Parts: sequence; C-alpha cells; structure tokens
Amino acid sequence: MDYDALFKRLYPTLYRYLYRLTGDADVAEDVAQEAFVRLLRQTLPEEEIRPWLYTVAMNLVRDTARRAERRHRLVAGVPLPLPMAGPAPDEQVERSEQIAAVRVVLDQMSERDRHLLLMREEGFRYEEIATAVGVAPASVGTLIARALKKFAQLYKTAGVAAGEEADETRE
Amino acid sequence: MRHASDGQILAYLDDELGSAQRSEVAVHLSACGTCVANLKQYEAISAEFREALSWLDVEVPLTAAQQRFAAARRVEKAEPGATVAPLRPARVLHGFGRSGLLKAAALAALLAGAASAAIPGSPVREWVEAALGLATVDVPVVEPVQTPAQPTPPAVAPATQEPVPDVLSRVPPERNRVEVKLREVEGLVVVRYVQEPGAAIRSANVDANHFSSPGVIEAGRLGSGDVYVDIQANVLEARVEVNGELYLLKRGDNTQTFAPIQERTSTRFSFPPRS
Repeated sequence: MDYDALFKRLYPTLYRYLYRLTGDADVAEDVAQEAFVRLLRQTLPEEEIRPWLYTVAMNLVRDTARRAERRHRLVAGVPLPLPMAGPAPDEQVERSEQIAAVRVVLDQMSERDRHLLLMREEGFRYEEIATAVGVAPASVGTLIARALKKFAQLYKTAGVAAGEEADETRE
Repeated sequence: MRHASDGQILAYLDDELGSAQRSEVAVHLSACGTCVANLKQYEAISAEFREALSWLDVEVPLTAAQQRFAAARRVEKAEPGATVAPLRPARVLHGFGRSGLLKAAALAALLAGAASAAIPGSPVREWVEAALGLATVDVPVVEPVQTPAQPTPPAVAPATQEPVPDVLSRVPPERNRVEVKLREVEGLVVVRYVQEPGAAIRSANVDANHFSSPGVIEAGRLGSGDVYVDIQANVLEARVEVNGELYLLKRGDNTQTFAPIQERTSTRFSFPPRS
C-alpha cells in the first residue's frame, strides 16, 4: 500500500475534521497521527480505510476527553487563535467573534450530534456514519435533521449575543 | 403519501434514498408546498452550517505530519505492533510571551523544576549540577563496544536514501543513563519521554532556548554546535528528534537509532553533522 499517497490524501481532511470537532490543534494533530500509525497494523480494503480512520480517531478523541476538557478550561481565558493571518484589526475582531460563536455552538452540542454533522460535511454515506457513531442506518437522516435544527437555533442565539457584544464594544 | 418526514427530506437532500423511495418523495414534493418549504429550510441550515465551519478552517501542518508519520513507520517496521505515541511536530517557541497559556505552562515547569532541584539527590538536581559543571554526577566511562546477547542483525538492504534502523542496543543494568551526542546540530532538538524526570538537553550554545513541559524537552534556535542529550536508564520510553526526524528511540532497556551514526557503545551514541 502506498502509505505516503494515502497520508497525503486523507490526513488534511482528518485533521480538519478533528480540529472542527475538538477546537484543539494539538489534539487534532496527535489523534490524526495516532490513527494513521494504528492503520499501519491493519489490512483493510481501500474503501474501508477512510471510515476506519475516522472511527478510530473518534474513539481516540473520546479517550482523551478528560485531557481535552482540561485544555478547554485552560484555554478559556485566552483569546482564541486566529486561523488565518493578515486581515485588518476590525476584520480580525469580527473574525474572532465569528470563530468564538461557532466554537461555542459546537461545544454546546452533544458529541454525537457533532460527529453526525461533521461526518456529513466530510461526505460520508449514512451507513458509514451509522457505523462510526453507533446508531441504526435508518435513523441517521432523522438524527442529522434534529442536529441541524439544534445547530441553527444555537447559532442564532450565539450570533445575536456576539453581535450585541460587538455593538457594546464599538459604543 | 403523507408529508415527508424530516429524516426523509434530509436523506433526499443527501441522495441517500433508494430509487423507489426517492421517486415517491419527489412526486410528493411536486405537490406539497409544506414539504418543499421544509426542504428549503434544511438546505439553508446546511449552507449556514457549512459557512460557519469555514470560520474554523486552519492551515493543515501536512509536511511536519508526513515527516512524523515516516518516522513512525520506520519504528513500526522495526518493531511491529509496538505502541507508538504520537509525535506532535516540534514547535520552535520564540519566547514566553506568545500566550497566557505558554506563560502559565513555563511558570509551572519552572516552579516544579526549582522545587525538584532543591531536593538533594533528585534527578533534576543532578541535571542542574551536571549543567552547571558542579559534577558530583557520575559520568559513564567510555567502554568498548559491548555485544552481549545481541541477536545477529538481520540482513539489511544496501544503503538507501532512507536511514536503515540500527540494531538494538541493550542498556546494561549498571548504567544509569544513555548519552546522545548530536554534532554540529542546527534547528530544533526535541526529547520526548515517558516517566519523568528522565532526560535533559545540554548545549554550549548560549543562543539556545530550552523549554520543558511534562514529558517534553525542546532546545530550539540552536545555531550550530554540539548538543548532548542525557536520558536516564529507567525512563520507559524516550525519543530524540532533530528537526522532526527521529534519531534515537529508547524503549525499556532497548535503544535503537534511526539516523546514520558515528560512534556508539551501548550507552553512548554520537551522531555526525547532517546537511
């Protein structure tokens, strides 16, 4: 198996998924790396590799949940990092508010809902999502629909709150 | 057909319905404004979610990750089934002022180190004494190469671009440390170890910045010069990396090298300058 090509193809999306899931770049790096190392000990058909990696990564995230929670608490008082450098100060403020709002909403959602929505965004089929999350394939559509509605509701609230805060700051 | 359920509408959007069910939903949608509105609502929320996620996009550290994965593959190849801890890319930290978190971590490490150094006989005190040349530390005497109970090394392929893992060395029980000399090294040296305290980096280069956190010691911005890494023999696992490349792995009593080596005994390893 051409592991180099495989890594180059799958690592970026797995890393992105994990970063979105945890909000922690260190955890994303560690977990993605560990998942690939574990892959070295597997013999899997090509089409099963990607869902297998995500499932392992998901379990690893659960395993490190306590550590992640501690990190979140430590990070709580620290301004969130700005993923992309360059924008003007006003844009940076807006950007960091947006990032914070998204992060807060994702953190408020259940772990299962986050996985459902993020795996859907990564283009996984419902059957693959069902296997990874541990639900019946027939229920995936309903669960994603509920999770989307919950996201919309929370995001609206967070967006309003962030907007009000920004207005107060500007005043 | 009654109204399509939310799950059916989502599955319709995501093309997850079988052909018969898809046709049924499509026919219903053509005649039901309520369900079309519901469909549009889910389309809008999906788009909003996608846009929200785009705020979280970050640059993926692919190159560093590839290097670490290559190193992990070499370890796995040499020792199948071994538990390989993830190797996060070594970060060059440009001072303590980057964030409150870094400051807190550095302060905690400093306080912990100071407290440990105050205890007579503690390993940390031993490092400090060694670093300051106070030298009550036992410095292992260079020994001739020991070959006790070493299995015959398996036949290895002729030299290739990729360094071939060296044979395992066994740390004799009477030796309390492994010493690694990195000659004319530039960039970043990282020692990761399990079970602390266990390792130290010494460098004559005054420009080197040393950072420690539990299980990790980094020496960055080294310029050029020799760097010494000391690893206590009772450390369960330790890795010495230079610029993200694995040079040496000590696991239990076994020590293994992954870069061309200049001199070695069972407890001392000297790596030549690398271009």
